[in-house]
Formats: sequence, structure tokens, C-alpha cells
Amino acid sequence: MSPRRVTLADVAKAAGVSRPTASLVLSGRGRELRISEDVAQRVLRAADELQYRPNIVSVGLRTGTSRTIGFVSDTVATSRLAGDMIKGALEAARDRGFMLFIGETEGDAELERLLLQAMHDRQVDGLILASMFTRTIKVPKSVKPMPTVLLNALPKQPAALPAVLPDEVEAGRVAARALLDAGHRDGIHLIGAGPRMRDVPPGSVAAVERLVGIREALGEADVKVAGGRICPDWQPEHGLAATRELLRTVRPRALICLNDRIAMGAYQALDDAGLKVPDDVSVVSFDDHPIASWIRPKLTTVALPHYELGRKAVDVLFTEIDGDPAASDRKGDVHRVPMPLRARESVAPPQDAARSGAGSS
Amino acid sequence: MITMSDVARHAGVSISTVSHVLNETRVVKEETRRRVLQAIKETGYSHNTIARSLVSGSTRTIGLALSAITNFYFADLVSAIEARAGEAGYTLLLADTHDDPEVELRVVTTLQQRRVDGILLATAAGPRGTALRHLQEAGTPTVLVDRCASPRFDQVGVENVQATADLVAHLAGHGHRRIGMVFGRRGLRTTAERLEGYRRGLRECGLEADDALMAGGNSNADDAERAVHLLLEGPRPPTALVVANNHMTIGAMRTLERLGVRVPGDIALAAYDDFEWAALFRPRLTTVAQPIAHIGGEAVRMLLERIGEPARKPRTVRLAPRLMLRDSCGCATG
Repeated sequence: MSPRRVTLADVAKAAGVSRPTASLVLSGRGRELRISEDVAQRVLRAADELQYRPNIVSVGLRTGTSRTIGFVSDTVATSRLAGDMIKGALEAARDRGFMLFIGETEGDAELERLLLQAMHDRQVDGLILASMFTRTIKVPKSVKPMPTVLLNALPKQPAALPAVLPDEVEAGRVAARALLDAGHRDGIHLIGAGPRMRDVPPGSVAAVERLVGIREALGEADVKVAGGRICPDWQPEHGLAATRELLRTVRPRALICLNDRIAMGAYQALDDAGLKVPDDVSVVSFDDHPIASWIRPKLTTVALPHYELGRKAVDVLFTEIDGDPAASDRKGDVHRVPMPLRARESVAPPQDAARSGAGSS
Repeated sequence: MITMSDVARHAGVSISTVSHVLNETRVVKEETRRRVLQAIKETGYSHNTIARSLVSGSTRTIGLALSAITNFYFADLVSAIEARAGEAGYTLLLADTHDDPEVELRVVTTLQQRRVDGILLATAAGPRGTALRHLQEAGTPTVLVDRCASPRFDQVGVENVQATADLVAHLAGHGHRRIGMVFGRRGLRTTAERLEGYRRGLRECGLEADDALMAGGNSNADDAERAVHLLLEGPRPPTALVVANNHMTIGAMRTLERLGVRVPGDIALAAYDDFEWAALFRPRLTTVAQPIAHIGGEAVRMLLERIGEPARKPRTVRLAPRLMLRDSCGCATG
């Protein structure tokens, strides 16, 4: 049985003020209506001690005022698509009559602290801490504990915070299966990470998890990764360099590129070597960056579901907000959002081993 | 206002790389790191400006109402506005208007109820909604962003006419006499302005406008694909093409590729809207880059002025886009 909810009336009584006064202070309009600092402090202290949490739904209905949640991310603009995360969050919030305070930290810890303070000052009901590319983050010490969800990030230290992440392990499996289903078994090379689990760019959760999935799926089919090349960053020039290097010594049958930008670079290296995709070499990658449907042949890629991630984070946050903050068995659930395969044109069955290869060095 | 995005572009790296260098969150190749630091110096980017202005206990807030779905530059605009607002000590409250005038009205009234200090509004499409009337009556400090829907308000948008004329002139400078255009959906102001610019450009170069050189792409890839096909089927097809937005450029390129038409060898191409990967294509695309960060920064600046001086006369500011000359127009760059 849950304890009786602390109401506004309780807070008002404890502070020795009227309910409207308490309400004005707690909704941040105290100063505007010239409620004395002293009174305001009394109300805030009472609310704090009683662990008052406003009844969200009824407040919204009563005053017609929208509630808010804070969305603090390292940056919004890493790619147009990453903006979809905010779109998803915005729309999920809107469905519940909430608006979003947005803050960008650019990865700066001090700025993050200030933004969290700013969100707190504006009485957000919950927080989403988002990262534009999947990684581990140091969870900031919050100003005041409040419902918080990590988006696209896992905490460096253990924290009882729910996290919403793309299902990168399954994505790895899906990518590998796309090749297996087309009949590939030999000459499958990884570009961007691998072949060993430790051959990953530092701090990249995506690399580790995709690799796990790839190796699992291939292992299940009794297929071995023929080789891999780690790239220090996943940009076209790194994909180009790594693939070029690979092509000096071996002619691959298929490439699993760890993201679309790498695949772009790989395409170029293959083109330079006179190899055709997918006839000579199949290519599969990850992210479904807009570039994937632009380049020719269009890339078969496992999509990062930015919009769904944003929505899910907000939905999970609402569960936290509606839930009982005093529950002692709070745990940090990890919610995995599926990454769909965009099967396009870059994967085809391997050509006959007997077929003469043209022009590869 | 210099953003991390500008630094990234200047250094020729991704934004995440700039972030890694600044925050030392990942080891970056020394040469790259030097390039980034150099870019920071050259652009005058200031990493911690924002940090100084957020005051504890303050509730200064700016509301931003725009449509997430229809705005191609959504992320960049939000980012630029957030940074500039933060510099001034304001937090940004974001609301989605869904490009629907009714939702827009609800959003605007909600922002007003929350007592935001000012509102930035990218108006929904269609005839002027009641949101504007509401804002006017309430006297809420407001700046219209991107879509300049009413001169009764401060407005900031893109200058389309001269920019397009300059683009046409640039292509004429490469020797083209038959310059075609794929224009956007009718009824949009940007479409009309870019068409006007196209005609002005032709006039300024002493070239005649020819209907056979113009086709409507309806602002989407599929219709643009057909439009380009149409243009190339004519008896005297264009030798250069201006495509009025990014979606249509995709369609245009599909047709060119399918027909085996090479760029810029067979046809020169210049497209509106820069993409982060425009420089990765072969050929590298010559584009007209929207000054989004600049628009965002200017919008906040104008709003702060309005907040400080509620009675000042409304102004409309039009910012010029940047012509990013690469290879597809015929310029032999690097």
C-alpha cells in the first residue's frame, strides 16, 4: 500500500501560509507576485522536508498550464538526424501536455552543472540526460534528486537511473545475418573495429555492442570473421584509409562497416581499386545516416532509431515521474530500442570463387 | 556568433571531434587536435562564454515554437538559439507546433501562461493564424524566425532573391547560356523569391528567360526527379542547373545518374541547402548554404532588444546565405 501523497495543503500548513500562496511559490511565480523572500523560503523548505511532489495531471487540468521536463544533451546538432531524438522527445512530451527545456552542454561538465541548476530553478518535473552518440557518461551530481533518464548513454559508475539505448547488440546480429542470408561465409572483414573485442575506439559503447552481436551471429553460423581494422574515429577518411590498407593484401568478399561514414570511405577505396559493390564486394553498415540512401549503390544499413529513442526516453521518464520516489528497490533498467534493417542495394550473394577478378591489386 | 559547428567546418572535422578535443573525452590524433585548436583560434570560438551567464535562481526563459517535422534545419536552429540564449542567461523552452495553426495557437498561449520573457516563432504554413494576433494583443516580445509572416513583428529570415541571382551569375560566368531551374512548391515565399532571383540573375547577365528551362519540383525528390527528366528531354536542354532545395537535389541527381549525365562535365549543378556531406560526394556539390546559426543568433539578439525596449519599431532582417563553391558548378577546386 503506498503512503498517502503529500498535498499542497500539507505544505501550506507546514509553512504557515495559505494554499494559493504556497502554490504560487512552488510554481515559480512568487517573486512576480511580490511574495516575500522569507515566506518563499519557508514554503520551499516545507516542500523539501515533506518531499512534496505536485500532482501533475490535476495541476495541468486545473490551471491549464503545461508542465515541463528538461532535456540536457551534449549537443543537438551533430547531425540532422540526431535532431530526431529531440523531435521524438518533443512529441512524446506534447502527448502528455508537457514542454521541453533544452540545454546543450557541448560536453562541458561545468556548463552541465549550470544547466541542471537552471532546469531545477524552472521546476522541471524530470530530466533526460542525452548523448548524441552512444557512450558512457559520468552522471552529474544532481542539485536535487529528481526523476532522471539517461538517453543514448550508460553511466560510468553504477547508478539507479533508467537508461534508454538502441539495441546495438541485436543490430550487430542483424548486420551479420544480412550477409549470411545472402550466402556469405568467407572473406567477411570488419572496418572500424575488430577483429578482437578489444579492437574498439575508446569509450565507444556502440563499437563493443555491435561487435558482440556480429561475432555472435557469425559464430552461430559457424562462420569466422576473416579480419578487421580498427578506426580511431568513424569518419569517411578513416574508412577510406582502413579499406585501402586491407585491399593491399586481400580481396574481401564482404565488408561490415561499423557506420555509414566509414562505409562511404570504404566505397571510395573499393572504387579506386576497381571493385564493384555489391557484385565484387558486399557492404553492410550501421546508422542509416542520410548519406546511406544517397550514395550508389544505396547502402544496406541498420538504422539508429533516433526518433523512437527520444520518444521512449520521455515515456520512461513519465513512468519515473508517476512512480513512487521513495521506493527502495529502484533500479536502473536499461530499455533497448530495436534498430531496424534498411535492406537496400549493397549486399548480394558472393560471386563464384572461380570468377576471374578484375583489376584488384 | 561562433558555434562548435563552425569550428568543425573550419577544421574539416566532425562536431564530435571538436567536442573530444575541447573536453578531452577521447584521444584525438595530434595533427587533428592541432587543426581543431587552430580553428578555434581562427574562428574566435569561445567555449565557456555560455557558462558565465546562467544565474542561479533565475527563471529567465525564452520560448521557441516551431515545427519539428517540416523544418530541415530544426536541430541546427535549436542549437544556435539555445547557445545564444544561454550566453544571455536565458533557458530555452521548446514547443512543437506541428506546422498546424491550431496547435501553434495552443502552444503560444501555453508559453504565455508560463510567463516566458519572449517568444521566437517559426510560423506554421498556410494563411496567417490567430497566434500572431494573440501575441500582438498581449504585447508579448516576439520575433518571427525564418518565415517572415508579418512586418508588424520583428522578423529574421533568409535573403533569397539576390543570392539566387548571384548563383545564376556564377554559372553564367562559367560560360553557360542555358541555365535551368528546378523550383519548389508553389505558394511558398521562398519559392517565389528564388524564382525572382533566378530571373533577375538571367536579366543581369543579359540572358533571356525561357519556360523550357524551368520546371517545378514541388519541393520533393520524386517530383524533382521527373522535373529534371522533363528539362533534359527538350530540344535545347540546359547546360547548367539550379535546384532550389536539398530534397529536390536528391531527385535531380538520381535522374542525372540514371541518364548517365555527368556533373559538371555534361551539366553544371548548384543546389540550395548545404548538407554536411556535400563535400563528400563526387563531384563535391556547390551549394547555397542557409545561414542557420546566424539566423538563430540574430533572432535571439533581436528578441533581447525587444524585451529591453518593448516600444521599438519592428524590423525585418534578411541574412544572406553563403555560396559554397565546390566542384559541381564547374569550378576546379583543389
